[in-house]
Order: sequence, then structure tokens, then C-alpha cells
Amino acid sequence: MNIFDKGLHAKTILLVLPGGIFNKCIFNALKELSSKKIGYVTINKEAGTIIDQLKMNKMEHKDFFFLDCVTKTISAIKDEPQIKYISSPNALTEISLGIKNCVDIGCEYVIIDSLSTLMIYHKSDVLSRFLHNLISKFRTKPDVRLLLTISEDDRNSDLFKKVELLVDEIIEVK
Amino acid sequence: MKQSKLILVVDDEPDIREAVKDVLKDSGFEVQTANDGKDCLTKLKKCEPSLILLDVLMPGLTTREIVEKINKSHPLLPIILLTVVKLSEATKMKIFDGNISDYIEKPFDNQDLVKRIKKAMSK
Repeated sequence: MNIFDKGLHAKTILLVLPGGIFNKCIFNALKELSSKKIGYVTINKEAGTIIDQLKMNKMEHKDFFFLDCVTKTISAIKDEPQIKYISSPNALTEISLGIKNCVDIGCEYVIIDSLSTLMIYHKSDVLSRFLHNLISKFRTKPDVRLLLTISEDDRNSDLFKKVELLVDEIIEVK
Repeated sequence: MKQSKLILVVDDEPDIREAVKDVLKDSGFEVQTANDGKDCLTKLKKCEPSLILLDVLMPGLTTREIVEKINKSHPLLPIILLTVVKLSEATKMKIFDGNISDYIEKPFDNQDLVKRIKKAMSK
């Protein structure tokens, strides 16, 4: 069964993934969406690492646009055609503007990988306010869907309890 | 022979800080800990570590900001990055432009950690 069979018509999806195989599941999700134009907000991996993995798996990535929140925290780097480097995961306004850009350039899916990592940087109320605004904006956009990812280990967090009420669909991968 | 040198361990996860501290103490190192970049910079004014073990993803100051400040105040002090982030080849090449001696991906092997700390300190 494909991951997204369940959420075919949902605008906003919370993808709950097992901690131990989190990255593998993300990769499977990307495979399913490989024909789509994707905005990928990466909070816990460098865009370069994801591109390396896509190449290793012979997956096309020309329709990906990355918001990389990691690399600039480690080294100085300039934006590239497919990658916008965000100063750090702390910069929610920058992330928000980057996501708006993803929508403007026609991304069909925007993936945030992951809420679990964002939780390291932000208090639950700040993050839930950010997500509430984001989800509200996506509801008004006809051609783009928001995919939030979170580790199963964070199921009992305050953020999970708030976000599960906001999204259209929760998909749990076992 | 056991080495007796001070290492500053900077990580926002208390469990990891304590685990690393135990490993290093067992290997004969003295250890101070800091829970984020700001705390690290404060501790640096009070102690003279021989090496810093610095977590990559922490709230507050970014790794780059912390490294730049350490490089400025302690230009010869070796820094080893501890990271759960899988670094791209490009970044691996680039980080050594600063005073980064090494990077170690979590989870790490305890013996390997000690070996690499000793290597960085001997340079």
C-alpha cells in the first residue's frame, strides 16, 4: 500500500513515522511523489545530502526546490538555483517566506521534515501558532498540499496534540 | 598512560552530555559541560579547555556563530563537531576551513570518540 492512498484529497497531512526508520519512510514518500513538483523544507539534513541520496537511488530531482535550514548553520554558503539556504531552524519568518516562494513557483507539495526537529528550536506554542498560520494559508491555495512529518516518538508532545486537530488527515506509517 | 586534559562538551541534550562526560572521564579526561552555544562561550571565559566537543543542532546560536566566536577568542583551540545531521560531501570539505578538527556522527563508538579526541589534541 502506498503511503498517500489514504490522504488523496487532503490539503494538509500529518505523516507520523517510526523513529528508527524515519528517513527511509521519508524517502519512500518522495518516491511516491517523484512525478510532482516538490518544495522540501529540511530541518535535519542538508539539501546536498538529500540530493546525493536521490542520485544514488537514480531518482530525478529536477522538480525539487529545497529550503535548507541546516547547511548555513554550519558553513557560509550562497543560494543555488534549486536550494535556498535558511539561516537556521530558528528563523520561522525566513522559513515562512521560503514556503511562500515554493507555492509561488508552482510546487504541488510542500514537505516539512520534520516537526520533531523544529521542536528542538521552538516552544510548542510558538510552533503551533506558526503551523496554524501555515495550514490556514494552504487551505486557501487550490493547487498545493502541505505535508508535515513527525516522529512517532513525539506522539505525546503538546505540539502533536495541537497539530492533529489542525490537519485534514493523519497518516501513520508502521 | 592516561591523559589529563580538560574537554568542554556542548550539547543541549542532558542525556548525551552525561553519557559523553562518563566516557571521557573513564578515559582520563577532565570534563566541563555546557548546554548551548551561549553557555559554551560563558564557560570558555572561566576555564581553559584543550578541546571542545560541539553539538551541531542546538537552539540559540548556530554552530557557525559559535565556531566563529571561539576561533576569535581561542584561535588554536581544536573543535570537534558532534552531529546527528548527515553532512554532505561539500560541507565536509568546507567545515575544515574554520578551526574544525573533525566531525563525528551520532551515534558514535566510544573508543572511536576517544581516539579522535586524542588525535585532534595531538595536532
